[in-house]
Amino acid sequence: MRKRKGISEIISVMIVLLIVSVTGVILYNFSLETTSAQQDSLKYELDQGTAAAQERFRILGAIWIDQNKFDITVLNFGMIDIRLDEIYIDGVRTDYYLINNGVGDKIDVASLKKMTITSPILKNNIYNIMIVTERGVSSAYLWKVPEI
Amino acid sequence: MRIYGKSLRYRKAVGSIIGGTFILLILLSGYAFYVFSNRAINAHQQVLSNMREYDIDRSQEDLFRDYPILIAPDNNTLRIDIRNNGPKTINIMSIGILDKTVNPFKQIFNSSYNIYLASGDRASVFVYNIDGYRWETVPSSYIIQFVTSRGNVFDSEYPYTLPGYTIADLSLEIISRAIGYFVPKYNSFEYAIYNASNTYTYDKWQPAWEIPKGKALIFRLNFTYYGKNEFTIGKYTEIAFNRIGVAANTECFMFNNTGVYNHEQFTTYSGSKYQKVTAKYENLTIYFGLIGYSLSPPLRLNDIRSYQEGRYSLVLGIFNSDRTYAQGIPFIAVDVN
Repeated sequence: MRKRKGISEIISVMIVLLIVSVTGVILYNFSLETTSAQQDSLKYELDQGTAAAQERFRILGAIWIDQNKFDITVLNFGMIDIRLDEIYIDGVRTDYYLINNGVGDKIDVASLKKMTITSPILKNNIYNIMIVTERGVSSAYLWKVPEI
Repeated sequence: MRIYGKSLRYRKAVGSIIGGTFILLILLSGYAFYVFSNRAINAHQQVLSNMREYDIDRSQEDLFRDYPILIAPDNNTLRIDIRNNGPKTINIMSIGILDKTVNPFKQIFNSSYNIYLASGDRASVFVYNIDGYRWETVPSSYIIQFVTSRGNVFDSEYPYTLPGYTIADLSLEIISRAIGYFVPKYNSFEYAIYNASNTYTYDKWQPAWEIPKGKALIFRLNFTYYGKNEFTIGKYTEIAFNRIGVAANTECFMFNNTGVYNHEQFTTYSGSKYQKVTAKYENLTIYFGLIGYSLSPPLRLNDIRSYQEGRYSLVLGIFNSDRTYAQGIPFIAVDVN
């Protein structure tokens, strides 16, 4: 007489099914989470990149007001509204960000915006003015201050 | 046992189906991600492609600005003629004007426009005085900026100048290229009767539209010089009197009148037969009357041509000393009676 050992076949099958199901659910969940995270990340990056690619803007000109102030006029000729984030003069950050409490000027599509910048300006000097938008796109303008 | 065996295989098959379903689901989620990312990347590429096209369109914009003109000082309007020289339609969205006479430049005008110019189209833009600001003719120097919706800025200046040129230089260039270095003042053409005496004097100068026959005559004509550099008027410079209806002409050569005693003292004719012009816009008078340029001073009566009755057309020829410059000017008709 054969001696029967172990669990019954039904139980073993059930255990196998359980293992397969649980493993399947875990793997499926993992794959869903992973792809979803990847999708979100990709979507965010592409959205940012697409929006940034649609930005086109430039400084049309700068006009001296006094030795501490000047005006710049920015033209947005891109396909999307922009919001300025920072303005640099010769690589040095101006207080534009602070003055505006971190919320820069919004410039709509196909419009001009004049803004006053506070920064020491010496006559006859050349300054590299760089504006940066919230999406990280920058535009530079070389300004020769006239003999004041 | 067979029944058992069948039941076991059946249950194993159920496990495989469940496992396979999950694998399929996992693959499906991967495929969905693939489709999504593919679409998103394509959309992004499409935007990039559109922007590249936009940049190309932008680089092709070409707005020709004719020089601005101030018209009618009483209504004080600035007029600028423009033409779209590019292949794409241009939308001018803003015009700004800077006053260059103040330092630093002051923006005196900025206004939104909505002018569409198809390829090859022309338009005249009128800018009226704004906020009581009047366009001034003197002194005046404005930069007019046309801003297009594609972000190009086209500058034009009033008064119009070329880089490195002053207005005076430009006038010189235009006149000297279009006409020549010398422009005569036609109504300054005069004659005088040369006296047949040892004093070598002459009578008063008179307009030379009509001149007396049978008299020894000398002529003078005023010019303005528009050349850039010093110029030596050569001895071949002449007025040719072509008698209408007669196949003959009389050459009336330049003579030098820069005598030491008197500006118009012909007795001191130096014989150098040259006259130098140095400055731009220099006004000068050239004297004519000698029939042969090889004669020696002093100017003698028989050197002076007397004229027969008739009608003459005059052609002025100006040469430099080495005959590398020549300028011919059909001049005027003269009656001799």
